[in-house]
Amino acid sequence: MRSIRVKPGPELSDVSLKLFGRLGLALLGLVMAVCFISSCRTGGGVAGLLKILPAEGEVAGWRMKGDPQVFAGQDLFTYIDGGADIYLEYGFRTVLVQDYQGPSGKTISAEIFEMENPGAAFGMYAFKKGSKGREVGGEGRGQMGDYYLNIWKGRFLVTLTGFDSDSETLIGLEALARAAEARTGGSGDNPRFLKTLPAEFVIKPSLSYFRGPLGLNSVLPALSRDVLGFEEGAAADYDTGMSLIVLHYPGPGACRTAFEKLRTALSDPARFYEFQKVGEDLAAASDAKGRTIYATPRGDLLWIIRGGSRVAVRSFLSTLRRPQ
Amino acid sequence: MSRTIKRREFFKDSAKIGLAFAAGCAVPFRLAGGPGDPAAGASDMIAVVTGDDFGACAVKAVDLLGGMKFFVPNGSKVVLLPNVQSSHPGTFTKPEVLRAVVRMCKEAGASEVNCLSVQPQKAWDDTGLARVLQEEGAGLKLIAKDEANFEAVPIPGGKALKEARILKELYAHSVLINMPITKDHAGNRFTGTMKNLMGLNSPASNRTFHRPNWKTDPADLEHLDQSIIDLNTVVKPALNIVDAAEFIVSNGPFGPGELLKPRKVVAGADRVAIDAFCCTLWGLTGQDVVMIKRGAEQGLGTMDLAKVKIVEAAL
Repeated sequence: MRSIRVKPGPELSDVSLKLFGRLGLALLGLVMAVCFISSCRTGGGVAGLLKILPAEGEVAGWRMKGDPQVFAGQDLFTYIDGGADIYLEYGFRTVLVQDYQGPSGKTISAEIFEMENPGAAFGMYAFKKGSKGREVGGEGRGQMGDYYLNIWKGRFLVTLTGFDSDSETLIGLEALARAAEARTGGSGDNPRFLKTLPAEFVIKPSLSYFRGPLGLNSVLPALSRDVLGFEEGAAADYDTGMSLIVLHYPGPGACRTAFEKLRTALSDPARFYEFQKVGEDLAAASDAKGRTIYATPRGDLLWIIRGGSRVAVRSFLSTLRRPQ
Repeated sequence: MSRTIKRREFFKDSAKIGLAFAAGCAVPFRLAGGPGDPAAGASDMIAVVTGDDFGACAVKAVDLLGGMKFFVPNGSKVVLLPNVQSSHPGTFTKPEVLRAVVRMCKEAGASEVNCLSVQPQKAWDDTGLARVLQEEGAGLKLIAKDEANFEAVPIPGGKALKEARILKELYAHSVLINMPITKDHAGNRFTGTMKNLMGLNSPASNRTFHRPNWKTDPADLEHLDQSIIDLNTVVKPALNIVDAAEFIVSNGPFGPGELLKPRKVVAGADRVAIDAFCCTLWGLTGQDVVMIKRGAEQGLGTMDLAKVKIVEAAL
């Protein structure tokens, strides 16, 4: 919160100073009250994170081990030295870390991340969950990996990490996740921008959302440095074998600039093969794995189509239009 | 990728490498060396050992390179630099690998073996690495993040950095052995020998490796890779021993992430070659990783694995 300073100007009398000072204090109090009420309603801040944390004895057999740790903003580097950037790219606020100890002494580490908004929480969830795993907590809400579990709701992402794949650990992961989810407010709606992608034939677990090159790098590493400047993006795989990536730029001009840089990259024989320029709005090439890559701008959206049959790609290109 | 080496050729190469290493080990970390720097690309050989006993794999890998005595002269004060960034599975150097390396250093005649770190005691405890050091009689020197504990080291010709800020305590030692775990990294796609040296850097300096305009400026985005390369031009470990036994290939470097278990330990002097090899373990090539490409372009080592002598063994 920005601090409020009352600096007396030369024309102010002592009386008006006192008056303005009192008004300033009253205003400050009002702002703090609004912030507090807002924080309580949205469950934000350290107090909100502590509310999500499963309490002592809430999950049978699992007890808190040690004290919770909290890291906010840039202090995330202290906790995740070298790995904080991706969180900051999505929009990170605070993380609370608490270890739990199970019946036979096994440990589960719980991390509760408060992100800027639900889109940031979903994006980080999709980035972290990995490509394989069992869904938990409802479709697209949580995934259990071999020894860890990620689940998101509202602005919050909960990551639970066990240190083996024993049944006690896996049962503990799910139980702690259920407890944390029940304590988390907010909805689990996906970012609205995901609706830009066609819903038909989409493989839902593959949906991802990003806000910068680090997130994009996980789905389009070969070109993530050539399409910078986008505000948000989404990607998904389809049953047709095709992957779609759509990037939203501040305006059509920025999108056109990015497309031209991308076209230049695709035409680089050291990086891609079989480059084709089809008019001013379509470029194509093959990557090192032999997959075709098409790129085309539409208004402020840049579409990238990777893989898939020629029929599927043509069909998509023919139906492509700016979403209403 | 690798080529088979005949027995006679292998022993001939090993002898040459041993001599080169021995020369290089006189100053195992140093300020930027020019042409002829014996520590720069002292060897184009890397050893790769596969097995279930990762400590034994580390021993075998070092043996294939000529033995620890080539890297740790009698009476040396040795710094080991394992990765202790996170206690999540597949994110930190395994205790059994550290244990094996401490023992090898002592058997080679090291007078002192220490780990230096700005990470908290809890990180060393949670990973089990502190216990290994205690049991093996090695030291753990936790350094406060105060800038006074770091030495400014000029980087002549640095493209992103003009100086590094290195732990002063390093200079009280004579041999540096770099011991990363290879794994995924959100920023670089890959972390291995070269990135691990950031563990010697001051946290404040590490922050400068990350730039604010990377969402719009490709130069800023690659600043991290270039900074790592610049750092590697002035800090040259005598030996790198990489835990490639079990590591995360997603959500790196902190994890948790999907685990890959190649059961390998990789060792050698050529950081670029080792990193180029390790990234192939999960389907990348050196060309895919900016840091590795830049390392090769700036003469830190060989990225083309066809030109690298890869000696492999299984236990």
